[in-house]
Amino acid sequence: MNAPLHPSANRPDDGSGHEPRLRAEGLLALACGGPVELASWERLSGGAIQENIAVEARVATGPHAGKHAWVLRMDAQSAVAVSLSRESEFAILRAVHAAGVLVPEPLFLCADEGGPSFFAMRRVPGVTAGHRLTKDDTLVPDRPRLARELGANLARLHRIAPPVASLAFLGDAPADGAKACVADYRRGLDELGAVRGEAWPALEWGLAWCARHAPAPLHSRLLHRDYRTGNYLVHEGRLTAVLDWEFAGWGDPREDIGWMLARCWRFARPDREAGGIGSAEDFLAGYAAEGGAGVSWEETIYWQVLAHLRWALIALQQAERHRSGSQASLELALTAHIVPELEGEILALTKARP
Amino acid sequence: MKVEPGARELLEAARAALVNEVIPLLPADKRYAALMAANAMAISIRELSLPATEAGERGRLAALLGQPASDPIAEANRTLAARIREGAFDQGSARAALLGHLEATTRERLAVSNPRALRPPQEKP
Repeated sequence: MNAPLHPSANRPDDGSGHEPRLRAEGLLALACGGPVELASWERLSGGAIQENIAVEARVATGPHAGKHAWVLRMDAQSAVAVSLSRESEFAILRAVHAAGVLVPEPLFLCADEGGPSFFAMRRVPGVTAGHRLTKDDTLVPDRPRLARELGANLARLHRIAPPVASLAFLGDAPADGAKACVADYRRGLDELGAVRGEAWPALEWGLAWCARHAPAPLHSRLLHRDYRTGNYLVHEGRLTAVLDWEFAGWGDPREDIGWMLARCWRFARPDREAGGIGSAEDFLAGYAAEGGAGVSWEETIYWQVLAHLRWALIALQQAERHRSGSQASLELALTAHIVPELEGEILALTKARP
Repeated sequence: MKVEPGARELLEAARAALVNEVIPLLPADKRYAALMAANAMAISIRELSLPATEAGERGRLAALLGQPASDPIAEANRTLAARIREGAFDQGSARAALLGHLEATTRERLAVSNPRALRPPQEKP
């Protein structure tokens, strides 16, 4: 039997994804129009849902000839139903990159019958770790500037309004984003409650409060839905790219703002409202300066309550994946123990407001 | 008669061994899993240390619902959740009573899950 004639064929199997690597080289060669060797293959710490693999690609000939630092993004073992496919995420990245949002440039979408679909994007330098970015001032020497950049970048994303032909898979935009969220989260709690015979009165209180206080809706925009510290790269103090677009969809733009400002994403610095990085004022000023809606701190409270409700629901859903046996994981099991803290935030934010 | 030291003491000793003797020797990429294990043990120890947690919740549920709370307590919580969704606690004294109960219950849950968060949360003035 002939060994496959392939640049990687002679490398020993070091347990670092030898077969996926061969497959990726083949598919990338088709996409690039020239032979591709992946000279390195390094798993980056990624989400539980997707794997990010840093590669050094050497393209021998063709329009992409040269050495490139790329990241390949592919499904991990267990994907979550609400997250987008790699094909869809690639389409989102193309749309937001074209709109001037700071993201890793999407390059090639690769799919065949031999394994999970993946796409290649240009590797962007920077740090994501929330506890480091919120603690270490050498990483973020000018915090007001980074907070404004985060706001401005979100405003560029929120310029994208439905309908967009290449994003038809996102479905129809909700007429009222807040009410759609409340209905959605109630449905989520009902599904978990039916499985476990449990209920979460503090979360129900938060949802009842949100149902009563729903603000007049803004027109739907493209939302990231996980726009927070931990999901973007900071290099030399500047925002370089926003990652993890798998939850993107249409909704009220203030939903993303509330998620960014919510206390649960401030890591080491709960006193800095904008993701533990800087002040809400700077974040909201950067947002408005780039054409985003003028949003007051008081107006964001509603969306912060919704953010805590959503994170609590996701935490319960993650714990259920462990409890049901579908994915035994200590990390998923422990996620349920975040919920009481989120409940405390919901109670604190709603108590002083009728 | 059960053999002592029992569950709680064994977990405390096991956690101390993990934290003091094992974790310092671990390479960086294995520390996270070990720290999660230590955290899971700490939660379990606190849960075992607070056997009467649900007594207070049961009494408050009975007062809010006007009927004895079920055993297990989950059924009473389902009833409460459904009444909250119907709007029965939106206003006035019903609202105040509900919030008192929810705050007390959340504190009890935090005492097990994450006692560091028991400090009152700060909201921007």
